[in-house]
Amino acid sequence: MDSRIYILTHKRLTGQLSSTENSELARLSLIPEYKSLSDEIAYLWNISNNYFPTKDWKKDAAKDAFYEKIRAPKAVAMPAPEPVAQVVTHTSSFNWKYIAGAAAALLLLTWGIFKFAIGDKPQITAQDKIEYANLDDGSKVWLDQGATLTIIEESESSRKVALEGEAFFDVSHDPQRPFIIDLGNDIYAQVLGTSFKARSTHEGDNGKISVRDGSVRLYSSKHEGYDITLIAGEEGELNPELEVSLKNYSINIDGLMAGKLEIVFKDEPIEDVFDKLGLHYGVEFVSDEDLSLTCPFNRYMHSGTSLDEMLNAVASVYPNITLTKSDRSTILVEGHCREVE
Amino acid sequence: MADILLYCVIYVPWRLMKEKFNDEEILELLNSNDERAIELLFDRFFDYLCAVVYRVIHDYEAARDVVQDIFLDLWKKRESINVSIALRPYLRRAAVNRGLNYIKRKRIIPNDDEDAAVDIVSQVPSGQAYMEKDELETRIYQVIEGLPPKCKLIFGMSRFESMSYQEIATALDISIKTVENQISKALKILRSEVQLFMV
Repeated sequence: MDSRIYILTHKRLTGQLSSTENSELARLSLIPEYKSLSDEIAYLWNISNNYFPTKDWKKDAAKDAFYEKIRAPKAVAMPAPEPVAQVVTHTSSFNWKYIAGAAAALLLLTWGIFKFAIGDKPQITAQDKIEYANLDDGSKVWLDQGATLTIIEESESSRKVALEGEAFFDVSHDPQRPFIIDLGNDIYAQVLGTSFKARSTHEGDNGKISVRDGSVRLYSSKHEGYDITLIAGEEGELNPELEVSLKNYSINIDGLMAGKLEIVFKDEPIEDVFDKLGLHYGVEFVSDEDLSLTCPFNRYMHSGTSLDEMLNAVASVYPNITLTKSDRSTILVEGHCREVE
Repeated sequence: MADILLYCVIYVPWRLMKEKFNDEEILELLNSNDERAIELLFDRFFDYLCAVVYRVIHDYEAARDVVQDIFLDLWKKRESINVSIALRPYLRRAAVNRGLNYIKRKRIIPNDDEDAAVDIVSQVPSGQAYMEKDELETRIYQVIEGLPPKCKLIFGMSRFESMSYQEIATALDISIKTVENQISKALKILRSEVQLFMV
């Protein structure tokens, strides 16, 4: 049975668990011995991801060999220039190269000093709709309305950003450069390559992480021990008072996910669905009276699904709800819930 | 004297500037036949890519050759190359694909087993501070290095390249059952070899 736990846990960690296997693992995990074994495997699996062989790769020798390879054929093919021409060419080449180099160096130095003096850091703010950002390292971020992302550091050894508000991250895998999110109040999330939703601690919120794939470490830099590692399907909160809570996270992502790969509405009150579609498509759903449309709506959509397709989907389930586009950014909602029989 | 002046005016600023070039600028240099692009690419990515390839093929010299070939290819296609994502993930993908091709081409899927494994038990450090996370990490890395070759290969493909059982089975032309067995074996070795650290 032990071997089965190893495989099921590994499949869970790598997102390859079928629903039957998921039930099997849940059943086995009721036995404390297996639960503890599974947790131990998960812990080791997560730590092993930092493994990165550090050796002397003899870069300079490789570089020299490379230049030899690219230059050798040229040297054979080129006819020998006449002595006079050679002198002229050499002098001209020398001047051009160094003058251009010096000019470029000066320009870049000036630019560097300018940047340093200003001390600005790239910042992305989502004003009134979800904002998508593609970071230099290949990571993707969907910022919720009102959220701000500041790029603090993007170096060879680290990637660091600060978040205010909520955002969904899809971080590119790079074990050498951990991706760290400053959530405020000395609370940080550290990831290697995964997708998850993060909420900062600003404005009284707790630092919160909901993990979709991979694993994320949520910790406080000031208080040792306040440190939780979350895996796919888990949600953890660390508030400024350093109280930790952990629960299972339903993958039915809310409006923040809109615009990512998919959006899943599961038993979502239809009025909430309208709010989220409004955010996603930049439109407003309005009604002349309080309709209290709390009937549930279930639908899966891709990022490419059009607004019309979604409106038709609503109409097909609830024909008594009328949705009329009154102008490009407003949709008038009328009627009541009564599902089609 | 002139040499010192040139060193100060050209070389030092150039060394400083190297850190500042972004991916787009490096590609522009490459597109315009400027060898500085290769210099920058080597400095920035060579060690990283070698380590990435090594984690897949576990052969020091071959990893260096594979990465050199990537740079040669970049240089050959320098005028037409068009990269739409950041360079690091782009090169990483190229490195992993070439590493996997190398395995296929050379048919180097190793036959296990136990004899080929490094004697990892003898590498257990002495002392009592087994609970330190850094030491645990170091120990885990030693164990990974010492896994039997086939086990290490399959474990690495799953752990570091996020390849599914099916993808690994296809890449190595083995059954999914074999992949499962090897993953399970790797995890068991890992667990048993770090027990002391898990106090």
